[in-house]
Amino acid sequence: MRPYIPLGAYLALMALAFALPEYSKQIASIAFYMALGQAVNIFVGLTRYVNFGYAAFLGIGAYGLGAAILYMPQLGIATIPIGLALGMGLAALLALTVGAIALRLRGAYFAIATIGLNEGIKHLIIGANIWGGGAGLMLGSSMFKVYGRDLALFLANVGSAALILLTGLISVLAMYFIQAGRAGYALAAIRQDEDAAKVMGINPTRYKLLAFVTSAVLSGLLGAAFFSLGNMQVFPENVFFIDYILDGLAVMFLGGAGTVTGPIVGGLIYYGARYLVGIYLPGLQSLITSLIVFLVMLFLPNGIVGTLNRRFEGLRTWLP
Amino acid sequence: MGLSLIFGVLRVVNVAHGSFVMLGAYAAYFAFILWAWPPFATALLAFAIGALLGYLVYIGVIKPLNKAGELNVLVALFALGALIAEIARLLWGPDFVGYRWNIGSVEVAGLQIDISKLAGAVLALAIALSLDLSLRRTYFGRSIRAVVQDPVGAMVVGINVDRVFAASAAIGIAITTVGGVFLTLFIPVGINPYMGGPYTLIGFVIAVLGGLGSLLGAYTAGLLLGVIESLGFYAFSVAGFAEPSEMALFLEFALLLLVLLFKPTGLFKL
Amino acid sequence: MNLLKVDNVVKKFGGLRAVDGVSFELEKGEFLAVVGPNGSGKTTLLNLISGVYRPDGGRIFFEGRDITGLPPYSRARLGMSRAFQVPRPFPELSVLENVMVGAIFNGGYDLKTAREAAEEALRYVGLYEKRNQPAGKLTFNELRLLELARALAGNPKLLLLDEVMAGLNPREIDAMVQLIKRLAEERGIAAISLVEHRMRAVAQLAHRVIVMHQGKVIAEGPPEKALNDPKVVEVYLGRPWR
Repeated sequence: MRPYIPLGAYLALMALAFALPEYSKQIASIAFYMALGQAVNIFVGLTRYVNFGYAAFLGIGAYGLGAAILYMPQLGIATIPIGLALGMGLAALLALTVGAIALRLRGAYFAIATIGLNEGIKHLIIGANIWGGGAGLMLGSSMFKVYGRDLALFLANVGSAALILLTGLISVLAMYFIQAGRAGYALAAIRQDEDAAKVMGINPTRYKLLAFVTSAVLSGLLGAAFFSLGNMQVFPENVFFIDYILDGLAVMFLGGAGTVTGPIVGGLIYYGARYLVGIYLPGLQSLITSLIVFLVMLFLPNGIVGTLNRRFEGLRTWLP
Repeated sequence: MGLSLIFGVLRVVNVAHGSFVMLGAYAAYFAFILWAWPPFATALLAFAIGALLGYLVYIGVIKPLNKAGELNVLVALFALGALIAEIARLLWGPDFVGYRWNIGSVEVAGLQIDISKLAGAVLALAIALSLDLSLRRTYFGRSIRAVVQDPVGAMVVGINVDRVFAASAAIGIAITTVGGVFLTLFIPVGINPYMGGPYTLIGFVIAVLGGLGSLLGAYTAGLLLGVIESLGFYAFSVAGFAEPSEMALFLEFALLLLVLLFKPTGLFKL
Repeated sequence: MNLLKVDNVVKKFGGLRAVDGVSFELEKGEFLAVVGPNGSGKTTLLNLISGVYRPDGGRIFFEGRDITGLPPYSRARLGMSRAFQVPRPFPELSVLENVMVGAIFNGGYDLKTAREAAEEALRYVGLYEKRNQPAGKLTFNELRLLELARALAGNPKLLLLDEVMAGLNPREIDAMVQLIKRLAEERGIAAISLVEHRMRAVAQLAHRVIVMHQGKVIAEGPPEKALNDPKVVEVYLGRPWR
């Protein structure tokens, strides 16, 4: 498999963001969807298990960074790497705990378990009044204090966009390396015939967990970049918003689940679609999202890249 | 106490048979809020509409997608659920609405209970019982059970498996919708297009607890869950450090995980 | 030390004893055929050895090591390989990739070595030309060969063959027989093969035969002796095998 096309496309996007800084916010949004789709892809695309509670990882990541900024201002600028590490660590922890239990289950049961994940974590945070509970975290003033006004604004705008782009890049790379390596073979085997895979020496839980945790950590990173850094606030209703799983699924399925290129293509198209809807049919974005997912599942389940790869045999090498 | 009654109602909302309808429940939970307006008479209307929807969902979505793999069906239904919620929002607006249906109350063991709620709970029990009986006694009921146990064998014996699936889907969603109607008796305010979310979770917890495929099990599990939630609520209120209603919901999620881990077939076997 | 030792294993399903106290030993490079009518417990026995089922009683030893509690993927890594009766390829992967899965996980090779091992295995069974085709497009006979190649690629010590002759025409059976024989002799791979029909093939192949009936072993020994054992004749064949 040659990753040049997807990697190249993504790098081109990044270059564009630097070359045309007025559009950086938009480009970052595109990248956001690409990254979201890719992170979902790493798990859902490779294992064909659905994680409905996906947004929980976005949220946890956001909370990690947010908590660091709010509660540990003495660290100064170091709150960012530490907060990010915290967010990713929490995401990983959550994924490991839930995954260890849920991933032993077969497809449908796993999906059931994850349905509650989102709501469960959200209610826990609100209920137990952790980290600001229902009121959320307002990071604005803290950030001004800790970083100084200018730096804070810079971080919120440029820094956030850069981080989102970076996360997208990492996701693409992660997806590629998992796909192309041993794990890729294992996951392909597992998703096509889990029992046969077991008899051939593959431990399914281990590989599923790998995909799950990777997906979670990347999402955590994304969540931190988008909410805490970019919006400077973390509200449970926002970050655990169930729509994000639909967004991720939409991007992934549109482009092609299980492929590296898929979410990149999907992200572009999806962003375009939302943008257009925003102009002509405002307020209907969520409707369009769920409609897209629904239609794609029915009529184009392999996505654009996936369908192309099936039609033309050698294409898979160049559009992995 | 009121909460226990609520969950007694909700148990109605699930499981015509096992793993099959589990999928249908996704969409159903989002759909039911639409039929929430007038009370008991509507239940019949809800049943009919729900059945029709269930059938449509079956032929349109479930059957063709079953070939492509589980994942696709689940996602499609999930998307469908979200889609329905959005359409609902478009048609009815995002605000909360509700109504009270007051036909007096009754004193039972020192507590004041609304008759409407009591009636709701009783009816739910009646539905559960009748469903269970029909599963066991009637020809159709037995076909369903045969299909659940061995689809190929059932086909060989002459049962039209496809029709059984379709009918189960229809009934399942119909009951879910009716459940939604009953639910409105318990929540005077708070009907809005997005209310479905928590109930999907609750529904699954109940279904898994009671054992997917067992109707009376589901009913009992519903009551059990109601009790647990009430207790949880009190416990947390007393403890004072957490927001009780939220924690109660978290408790349910934890419960789901625990049950799935240790006893995925459910607590009851019927 | 023998390669495999099955010691009084029992497997129950509900009230039914599918495998009821079966014991035998297998040496390195030895070829054992397990014969018996439908329902005699052959497939259950194979599932017990490969780890798909856990025995309710008895123990299983591989190279002297107690593997009774090990899950199937661990056993595979110890050198056991299985070919299914109804071939279970990974339909979306190419033939080569299918076999590579076996090489990577059964044999523990890295990707490069796995590819070479896979190609070699394909050459051995004669499927090399079709290596880049999606596995979903092969004929039934070819799928059988694919199963075999996949089981081979990991360089196993023990091959578990689940009725690999069923559904093949006599010419194909002969080819398969020759192939397996070569494996035993050239590579020293031991094999347990379940056979329901094709007694002729059994006789040619195996060093030893075990006959099962209702979960128990009713005869054991070289083909001629075991198959002509009066108990076997009575239960299974109806007349002496010639």
